[in-house]
Amino acid sequence: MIELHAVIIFVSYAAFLVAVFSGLAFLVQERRLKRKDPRVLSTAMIPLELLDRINLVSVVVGFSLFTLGMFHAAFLARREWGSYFTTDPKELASLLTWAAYAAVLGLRWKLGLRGRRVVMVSVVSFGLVLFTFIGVEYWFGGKHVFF
Amino acid sequence: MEISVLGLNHRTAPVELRERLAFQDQRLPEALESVRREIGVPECVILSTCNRVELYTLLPERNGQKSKLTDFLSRFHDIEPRLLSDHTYWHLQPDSVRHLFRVTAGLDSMVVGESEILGQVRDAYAKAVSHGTVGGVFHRLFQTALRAGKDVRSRTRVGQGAVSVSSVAVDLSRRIFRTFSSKTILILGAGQMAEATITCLKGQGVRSILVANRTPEAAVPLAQAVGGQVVPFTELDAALIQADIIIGSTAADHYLLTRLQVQQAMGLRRQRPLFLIDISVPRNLDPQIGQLENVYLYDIDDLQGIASSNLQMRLNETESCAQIIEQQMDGFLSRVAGHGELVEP
Repeated sequence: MIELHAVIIFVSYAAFLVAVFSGLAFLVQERRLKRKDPRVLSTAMIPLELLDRINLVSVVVGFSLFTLGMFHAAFLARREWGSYFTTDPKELASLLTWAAYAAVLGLRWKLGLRGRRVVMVSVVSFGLVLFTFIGVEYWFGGKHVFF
Repeated sequence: MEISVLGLNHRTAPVELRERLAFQDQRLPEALESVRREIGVPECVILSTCNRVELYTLLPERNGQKSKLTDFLSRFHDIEPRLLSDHTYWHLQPDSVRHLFRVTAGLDSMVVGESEILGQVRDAYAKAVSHGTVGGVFHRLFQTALRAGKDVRSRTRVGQGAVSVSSVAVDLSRRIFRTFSSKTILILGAGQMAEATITCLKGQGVRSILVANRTPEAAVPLAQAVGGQVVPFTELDAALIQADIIIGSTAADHYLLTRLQVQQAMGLRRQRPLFLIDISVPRNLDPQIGQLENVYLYDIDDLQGIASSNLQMRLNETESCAQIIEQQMDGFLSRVAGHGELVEP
C-alpha cells in the first residue's frame, strides 16, 4: 500500500512538472509578444492558447492525484500510526502544496484569471513540491523515511 | 549549341508592357511551336508570370538570334519592336544559366525568396515538355535549376520570415491562437485596407467576421467582399466580447477603442486572449490597450518593422544563395559540355 501511495504522489509531481515547463514556455513567449521581440517569429513555438491549456490541464491532473494521494495517505497513517493526521513535517508541507495548487485553480475558475499571473503562480508553486519531496527530510526529518 | 535567354521582368519593364507580353495558356503551344520552327531552335521553354516573360532557347549558332526572338515577341503580341528593345535583357552562357537558376531560387523575384516562382518554372518546363520543345539539354538544365532552387531554399533562410504586413499579422496570430475556426474577427472601418489581412486570416480557417462602421451602410461592400456581417458602432461593446482578433483601419483622427473599454470587455470574455492589429494612421486603437493582460496590440509600424527586418534577413542570405547557385551551375555546365552538347563554359 505504501508503494501505491508513492506512485500516486509521484505521478502528481510529474504532472506539476509539466505545468512548470508549459508555464515557462508561456511566460517566455508572452513576454516576447508583448515586447514585440522579433524572436517571437523566428523560433518555432506552441501557441499561447495551447500552452495555457496544457498548463491548466496538468495542474488539474496533478491536483486531483495529489488530493487522492493525501486521502490515501491519511488512511495509511491511521493504520500505521493510529491517526489520520500526525503533524509530521511532510504532512504539513503537503497541505501547503495542496493549498497552493488549490489557489491556482481557484484563481482560474473563481476569479476567471488566465494567462501570465496565474501561470506564474503554477510555476512558483512547484517550489513547494520540491520542498515537500526533498527539502522536508533534509531540514526537518520526520517519519517519512522512504525518500 | 548555346543556352540563351531573352526576357523582361518587373525591374526592366513597366506592368503595362509586361501584361501585353504575357503568354496566355491557350496560346502557349502555338508560341512554342513558332519559336522552334521560325527561329530554328531545337529546344525552347517559355516562362510567363505576372512579373516576367522569358524565352529560354538552345541556339544552334549565335548570329542574329536575339533580333529574331525580339521580332517574334513583337509580332506575336502585336507590339512595335522598338518598344521592346529598351526593356529586354539578353544573356548567353554562362549568364543565361545563372539567370535561370537565380530566377528559380526566387533571388530575382520582387519579393526576394518567394516560393511561387519555383512552381511557375516547373510548370513552364512541364508545358514545354508536353509540347515537345524540350530535349536532352533543357531536360537537364531545368531539372538542375529546380533542384538548385530547392537546395537554396532548404540550405539558407532566404525563404523564411513573413515579409508583408498581412503575413506578419497572421504569423503573430498563430503564436497566440491554437485554432482559428472558432475565432471571430472584428474590423473597425469599411475601407479596403484590411482586406489582405482578412483574406490571410480566412486562409487560417476563421469563419466569423464582423464589420463595424460609423455609417453601417458603408460597411456593406467590405462585409460582402469578405463574407462578414455588419454591426452598428453602438453595439461595439458587445462585439468586443465576441471578437478574438480586432483590426483597426478607419480614417478616424482619434482613438476608437480605449483601454477602459477593452479592460471591461476582457473581464466579460473571461480573459480569452485578444489580438489587436492597428493598420490605420493615425492610430485607431489606444496604445495603452497593449498593457492589459492577455491583450496583444501591434500597430502598422510594429508589423512593418518585423516585415522589413525579415526582408533584410533574406537579403543577407543572398550571398550564400549565390554560392550554392555557382556550384550547381558549374556542375551543370561541366556535365553537359562534357557530353559535347554545349560550347565550353
